[in-house]
Amino acid sequence: MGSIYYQIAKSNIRKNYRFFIPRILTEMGLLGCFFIMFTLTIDKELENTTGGAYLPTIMIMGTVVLFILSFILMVYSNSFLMKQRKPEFGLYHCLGMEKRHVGKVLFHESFMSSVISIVSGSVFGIIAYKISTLLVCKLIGTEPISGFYYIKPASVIPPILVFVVIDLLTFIFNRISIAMMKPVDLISSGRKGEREPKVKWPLLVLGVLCIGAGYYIALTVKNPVAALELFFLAVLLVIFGTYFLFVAGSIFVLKVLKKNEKFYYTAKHMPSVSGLLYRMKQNAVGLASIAILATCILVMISTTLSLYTGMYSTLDDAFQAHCKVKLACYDGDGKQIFLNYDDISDMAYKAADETGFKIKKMECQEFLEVTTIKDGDRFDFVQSDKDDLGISAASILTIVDVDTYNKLTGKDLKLNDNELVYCPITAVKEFPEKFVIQGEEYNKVSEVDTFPVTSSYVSICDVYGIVVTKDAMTKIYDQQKKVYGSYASDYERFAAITFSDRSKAIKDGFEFDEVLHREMNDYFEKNDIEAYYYSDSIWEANKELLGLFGTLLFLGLVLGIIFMFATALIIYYKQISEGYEDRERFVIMEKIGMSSSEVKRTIRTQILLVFFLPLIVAAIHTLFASPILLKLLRLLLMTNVSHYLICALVVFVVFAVIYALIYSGTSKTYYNIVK
Amino acid sequence: MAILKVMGIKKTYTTRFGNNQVHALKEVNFDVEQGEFVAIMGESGSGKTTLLNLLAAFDKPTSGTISIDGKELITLNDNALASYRRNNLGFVFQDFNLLDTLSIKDNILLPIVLGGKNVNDYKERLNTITKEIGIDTILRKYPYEISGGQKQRVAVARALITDPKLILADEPTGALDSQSSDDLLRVFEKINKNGQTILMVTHSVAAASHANRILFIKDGVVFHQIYRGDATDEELYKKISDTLTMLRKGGEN
Repeated sequence: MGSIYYQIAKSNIRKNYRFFIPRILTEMGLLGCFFIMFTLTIDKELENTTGGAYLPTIMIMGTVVLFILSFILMVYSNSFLMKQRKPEFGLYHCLGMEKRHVGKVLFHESFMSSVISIVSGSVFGIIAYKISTLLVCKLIGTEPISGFYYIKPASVIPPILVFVVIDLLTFIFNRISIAMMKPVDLISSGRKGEREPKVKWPLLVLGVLCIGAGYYIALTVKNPVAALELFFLAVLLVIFGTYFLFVAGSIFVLKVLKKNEKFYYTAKHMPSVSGLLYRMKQNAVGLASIAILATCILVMISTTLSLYTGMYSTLDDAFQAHCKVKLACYDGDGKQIFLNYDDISDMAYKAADETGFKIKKMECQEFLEVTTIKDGDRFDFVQSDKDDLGISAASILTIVDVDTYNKLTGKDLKLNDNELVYCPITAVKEFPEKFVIQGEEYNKVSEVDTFPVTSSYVSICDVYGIVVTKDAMTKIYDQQKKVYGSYASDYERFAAITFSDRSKAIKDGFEFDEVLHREMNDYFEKNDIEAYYYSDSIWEANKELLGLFGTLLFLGLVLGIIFMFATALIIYYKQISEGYEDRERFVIMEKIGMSSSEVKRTIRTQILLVFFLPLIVAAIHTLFASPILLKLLRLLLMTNVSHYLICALVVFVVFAVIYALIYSGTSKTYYNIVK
Repeated sequence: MAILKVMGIKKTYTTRFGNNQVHALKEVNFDVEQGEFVAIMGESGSGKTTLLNLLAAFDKPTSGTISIDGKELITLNDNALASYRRNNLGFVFQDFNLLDTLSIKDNILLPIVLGGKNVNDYKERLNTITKEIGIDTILRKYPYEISGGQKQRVAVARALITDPKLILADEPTGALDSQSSDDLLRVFEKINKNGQTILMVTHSVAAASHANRILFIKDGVVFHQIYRGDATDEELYKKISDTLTMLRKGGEN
């Protein structure tokens, strides 16, 4: 290996450390994170723990995102490296090296950088994997199993292979591009004069339209299911809009600034405005990428963090009663039968005594939930041709009869057959004066803020709670039965149990569940009922949500870190390439009478402008995304708006600080080059 | 009245390890009068560039004083030097040193802008100067769109815009072909006739033959000087060539 090419390659890497070190670090970090994600995807032991069930499905998404990002970033850093080093290859050529010799040097360089990156990346990945399994286990609330720690070939080899292939492809690409280059291209430094860019009006208009459309979707989306359908479209629109706007809009703004002579012809502004304008073509794409990456980081981490930290408040909202036991069952013929509430109540108290629980409240909730298509104040039962009822367009009526309502709330409400009391369960900002349900008119007599039963549809679509007379409820039941047939809803009846201690319920509820389950099975047998025990409880939900939200938060954090890394890389390369370009300009300005402190001030103005722009854009994007994100969070039961906003704000502040650190760190490189 | 007074200038460079001293300038004395066009000639390594750097205050002499219009440069700090350079000196460099991010007009106005002065007060001056040196039709263009000769004339316009007391030109024809060189030197003659003082460093005999007075530097001292007197450019050219030959011969002894 002691060949001359190897020696040259070795000294090249050392001399070009400013380009090679970031490339090696990028590959190392990406490989490490790829390794973590991939192993979590295929780890069977972790999957089988409580709460670990979501890991594979969610981590595979992370792995795919990471794969795409790795590819893009490696190609980006490679093309940057090659562009900066073109004159160097040209020099070899002049000194008498043939292209194949340059190719050999290139091979040794790529080989060395690849080996260093992959070895260090693997080591980093294995160490970071240990830490991250501990973190995952903590987040999803499960005990770490020693088995995760051992590295299996099945989880090490594919990530390494991915990066070997990426490195090989970039080498082949570089080799071909050197072979295709004419010697004169290699020698000439490639600095051709460029005409001052013109404002591209169509692109500017398109950018404004794209972003406007994306924002419009985000602001006006009606319900969570629609949000899920439109979210991707809105994201794409905003991404394209951001690119268009940065490319065309930045030039437009700079031209306007330049037209304003009072502003432009000052020592502070002329060098930076003209400099920015001159290279905005390359710059805009980099800035837009930074803005988009920053938006991704903000959105990912603030949503997952608000889900995770807001879980107890989510559980409290969703579970006014800690455990609901279903009393409406079906017998062998599919006929609905109702269990005796008093019997169940006795069993529940017995189970609570046995497991050391204290029941604060227990009540029988009886209600009917029907799917309707809403048009103004009309609610109609419509049999759809399609299999599903088009849930995104549906509105749910949750109906309680007035006797049950009085019993559950302790009020003394009286209604006539064509009257109702209305409660807007999901935050729908409309208050119709009357409801026309399948042609039958009901007048609203009053509105209430709270509803005594909890609907299972709140996270999906709009839910309207109404209280009517028993007769009216029967009538609605019959009407929908006629339209929907076998898809029709049935009366729901639950025994809703609330314990005095919520945290104990979350921790030890399983024991209560087990005892009650046993009792009820005995009861079914004794009374010769063919039925299944079904309960919906806060502890089950807690386990599920902890697993799901913990996994999501972990994904958010890992991807957030990687996106941050990508941001740092782009900023770093930008600073370097601009440093070399600006160096000449500042030397000239110093020669014709600019003091070094004035030069520093000009540089600072320019850097700050470029620094704040993507950050501000990311903040605005995140703000406009909030409505649609909140709708999506509702799908995951999270409805606490202020909690989300606080999380988003905290994440933004932390992000801005880290971003500033990255920027000031890379600025030093810039100053060093310019000085 | 002498606009530039150079008295007893010494410049000594010490090598990195401090055991070797190089005397770039040993003892330089000369004056430049208001309205003169002076050329400084010398071979590579004679100390021309060192001298120019000292005159431009890019560097400080080891000993001796330089005063421009009665003001001693050594007493000024960095910031004051920058503004002094901006207001009193005009520079023309070999490689033009135009900013390719600025239009020709903005390049010429750059010293005004850097000096924090109002650009509008200089619009008229800009028109007069650019018309006089024949670049008034390319003001909206960018440096990469014009020829080398034009670039150098833009640099002259940039040097003139502040109405400097002295123009320092460092090998201004070094990167130009002979036709463009000739055009540029005519521009220099023209602005000199209008009263502009010019100090030009060059090793080109053709360039020096346009000056009123030629100083020859050799081994860090002013060795000889020639006044034009009534001589034409051609006669002066001959005189300079002869002097250079003599100098070279002297060096062999």
